[in-house]
Amino acid sequence: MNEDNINGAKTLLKAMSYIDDDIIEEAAEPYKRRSFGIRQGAGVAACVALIAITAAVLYATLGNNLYTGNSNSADGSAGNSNGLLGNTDDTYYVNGASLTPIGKSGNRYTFTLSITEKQERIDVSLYGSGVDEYGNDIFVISTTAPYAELTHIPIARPKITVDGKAADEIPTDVGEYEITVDFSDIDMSKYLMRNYFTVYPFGNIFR
Amino acid sequence: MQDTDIIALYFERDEQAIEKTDEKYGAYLKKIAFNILCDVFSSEECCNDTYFKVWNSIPPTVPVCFRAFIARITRNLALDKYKAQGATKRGTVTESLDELSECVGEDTISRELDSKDIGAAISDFLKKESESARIIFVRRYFYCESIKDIAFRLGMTEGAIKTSLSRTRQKLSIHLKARTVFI
Repeated sequence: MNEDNINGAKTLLKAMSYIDDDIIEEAAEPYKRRSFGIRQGAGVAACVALIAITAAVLYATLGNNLYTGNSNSADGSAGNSNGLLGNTDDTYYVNGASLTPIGKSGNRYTFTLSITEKQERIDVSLYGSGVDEYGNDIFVISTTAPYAELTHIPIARPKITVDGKAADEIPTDVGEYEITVDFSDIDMSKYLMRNYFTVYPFGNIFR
Repeated sequence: MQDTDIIALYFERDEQAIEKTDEKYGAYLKKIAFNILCDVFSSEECCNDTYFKVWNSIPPTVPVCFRAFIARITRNLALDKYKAQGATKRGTVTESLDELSECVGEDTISRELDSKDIGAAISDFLKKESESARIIFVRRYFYCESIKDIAFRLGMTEGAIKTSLSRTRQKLSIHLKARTVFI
């Protein structure tokens, strides 16, 4: 990288201050996933139609046995596709660890965590959006708080229980654990909370 | 309090204007300054400088969009402070400069254009991009947010954010060449 390169980059970074107000504003707003465009909508509609036709053909060919004869399979596949907590067929795998949601009681969620190789970090986060009176546009509840200091993102911490004992964080060492994450004491009323958790590194799990 | 009410307080030279600005946007501005300076004390100082500058700018300036107006002031002050401090800390600004220097490539930026002209050219480009690509780009290079923060905010993976930024930079480079910003 030469001097001209760096000077050019500095000029671009400085020039970013002069982009239009509406672009700055848009990026400051809480992010909402927008509705599908016509092209994506058409794609989804085509997929739905294809699945419906395939199901109809299979139904006509194999009869009711396809659905009534194997209820476990039907339940299991539905569970895996939407990751519903409480469905014991759901297990989420990453290298060296697996996570199985095993129950829900109010805003308390229980998982079984199995670690065969030490993990760098494991955390459960739940996001909400909606501008409060202080202009905060996103609300985060997380078992770790990497952004806690000097961020305009308010952060709350749920209670964590590991094998029935209160803990500060979710374990990352090799072992089998029963983890409970309890959001009951956190006021989420000002925010529109997402209907799924992000459980790093396993992915998103619907609440 | 609505932004128009806060602006009205500045026009009335009512010191509550600063208080209300801090109450409503203090955390937002500190975050912008902190992303650039990576230092709590300097970020707070930068916010105070912002309030002083806003107090001296309104009136006569009537900001169309108050939040963007004060964000821009904080960003410029923080970048100046970053430069004055000798840019010793490895933070998002250093990473952003590395990334943007790829965008500049072998070209040089026309000396006939000032930051406002280049900003206008970037705006034109960003308006043609998808909403998500634009938001990611602005959060990275205006708000100087880390990849991790952007991924966290948008509920996307860090890899997806990096890919989006890389594509947008490539397209921006082509756009700026066509607009003779890069020569």
